Amino acid sequence: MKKTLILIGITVVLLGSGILGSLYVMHHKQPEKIARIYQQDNLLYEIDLSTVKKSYTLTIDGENGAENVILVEPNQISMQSATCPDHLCVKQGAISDGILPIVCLPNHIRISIASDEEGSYDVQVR
Amino acid sequence: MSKSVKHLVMLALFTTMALTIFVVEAQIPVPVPIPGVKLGLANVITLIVLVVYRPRDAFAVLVLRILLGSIFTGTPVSLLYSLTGGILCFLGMALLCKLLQKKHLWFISIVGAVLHNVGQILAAIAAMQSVQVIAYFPFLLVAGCITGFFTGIAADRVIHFLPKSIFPKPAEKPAKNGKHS
Amino acid sequence: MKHLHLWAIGLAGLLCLTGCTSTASSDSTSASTGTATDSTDNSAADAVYEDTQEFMGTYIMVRTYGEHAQAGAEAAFARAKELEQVFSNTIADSEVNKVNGAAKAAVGTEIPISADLGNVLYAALEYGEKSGGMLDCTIGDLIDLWGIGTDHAAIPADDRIQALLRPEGWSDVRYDVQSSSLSFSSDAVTLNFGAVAKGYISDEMKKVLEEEGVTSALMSLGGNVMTLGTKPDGSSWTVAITDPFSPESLMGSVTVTGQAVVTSGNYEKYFEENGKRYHHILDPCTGAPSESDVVSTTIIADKGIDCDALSTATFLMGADAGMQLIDSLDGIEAVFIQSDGSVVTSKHIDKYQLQVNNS
Repeated sequence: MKKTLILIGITVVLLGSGILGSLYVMHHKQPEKIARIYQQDNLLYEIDLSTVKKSYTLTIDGENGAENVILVEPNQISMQSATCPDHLCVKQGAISDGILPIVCLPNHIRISIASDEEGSYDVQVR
Repeated sequence: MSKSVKHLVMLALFTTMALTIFVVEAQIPVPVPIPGVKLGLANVITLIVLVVYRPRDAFAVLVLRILLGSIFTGTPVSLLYSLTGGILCFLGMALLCKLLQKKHLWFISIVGAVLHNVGQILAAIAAMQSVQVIAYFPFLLVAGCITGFFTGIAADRVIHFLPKSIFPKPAEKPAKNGKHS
Repeated sequence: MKHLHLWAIGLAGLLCLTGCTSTASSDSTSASTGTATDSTDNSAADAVYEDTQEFMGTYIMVRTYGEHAQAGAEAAFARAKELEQVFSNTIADSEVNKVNGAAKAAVGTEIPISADLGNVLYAALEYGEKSGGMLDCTIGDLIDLWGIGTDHAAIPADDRIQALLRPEGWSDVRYDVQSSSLSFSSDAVTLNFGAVAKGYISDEMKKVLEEEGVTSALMSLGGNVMTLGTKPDGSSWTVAITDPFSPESLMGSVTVTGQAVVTSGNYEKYFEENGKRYHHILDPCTGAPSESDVVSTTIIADKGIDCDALSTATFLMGADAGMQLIDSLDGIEAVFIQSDGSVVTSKHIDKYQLQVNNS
């Protein structure tokens, strides 16, 4: 009986921390709306969503005919279509300033809002 | 029928069942758009085998189910995620099976589900080469607790109704001279 | 009672664990919030000042750090505007336009010029010689004829191009360092420093920043990058290189501390007609946009003018001859992207941690 209670306690702790963590992730906002699009660890695009005036799409080709179409809109970004089997990244909808990235695991595409500096740069030479 | 052949046939049957559940489950759309969230019904079979037979039997069934499952559902890319999650899940459940009684199967299952998600996140971090996917972990933790609880209960019920004539009592292990992969 | 005890432990554990999760999640975001606090922090030592102004037909961005940040940036902009008055071909009474007029009218006579114009002319002639005449600052008429980058860009008639071709045109202008004066040996010479002026201006802006006591700064003159020192935290500047095949994305990056980075590419200014792209880098030998085997040349060196001149020169020379020239020069490194997508680098490019995206 005592053991059962301990186990229930651990479960409640796991569940509770999961719920609180989820709430934190959902409600945490970023100061800037800079979207970065990565393929594996390669930074492909860096877009300041607050400066986007007209919607447009970006198409990213991957291995074995994989293709992801990303819809860039004023203040938000979403996966419009993907060749992955589950389409979870499409169902996730648009993100704008949260810390939850859009991830297409099968095609290794990640769209994140300015929250990690890795792969980031100071200036672009052109 | 010799004991070892019977054992092998049972394992094959369990693998088939796990695979069927896995493939059918893959067709069920997930209500929440979080990568990695699923019912994990196939884990019911892993749990049953773990309790009724030995850990190595459960491991064989699990790995075979994952390998065949990824071929059957046509998603070889997700193999890495399933395998890392599956192995971590198995290790945790096998350890807890030694420590806890059968009536705590629901808890073993929850730990298994959560560890499965931990494994998937680790694999995703490696594949994406970014720690940012950790933001998904809290959601997976909640999902793991809920789905793990129900799969655990399901496994517990199934074991309860297993015919004693075919299966050894959960507490007793199969004959030592039995040969199996 | 026992149960109460257990629940208390459980609750404490819950609090511990949630504490852990929230710190773990905020770790991943601290990087960006860190920059945000820096820019709003008003304490003089960590001050950051950034301004972008539009002139010289492009956008000039200056970001400075430290207590002299704003004064430094303002002085640098003032210097840039002063130099625009020297080198601009679009400002009617710029020094270049006045000198062009005077020297054409009196071929062979020496016309006095300012030290700034002299410095740039000296460098342009030096690289004209080193590049075998490919960098030619005397083809102003040809540039005007094509008008690439303006609203009247069009393919000119072939005979009009032929009429403007002068072999080894760069040698038609003489610069006398002692008297700081120049003379033309042909009235067909029209000086145009479009290929080198921005590099020189970035050098001069950097000089002003140093005089103002700024030790850390980043500048972009319409995509020509100049850095001063390191970032305030002591790390190097990461400069992303544009993918010439899709200019809104990146091909790779280099890290620099105090160097200039300049790229010449066929994607910068161009117009298209009958499916053919006519870009702004004109080959003085053919009088048409260069058709060498490179689509982008990026040069890294201490001085912006060297980068600017060599990026244009090597773009015109092509990968083999261009890289040979780069490797013969000290302290200059380069990354070329060829039309087939392959990347060619100079001998010691490792100094700048070149990263190439393989997508």
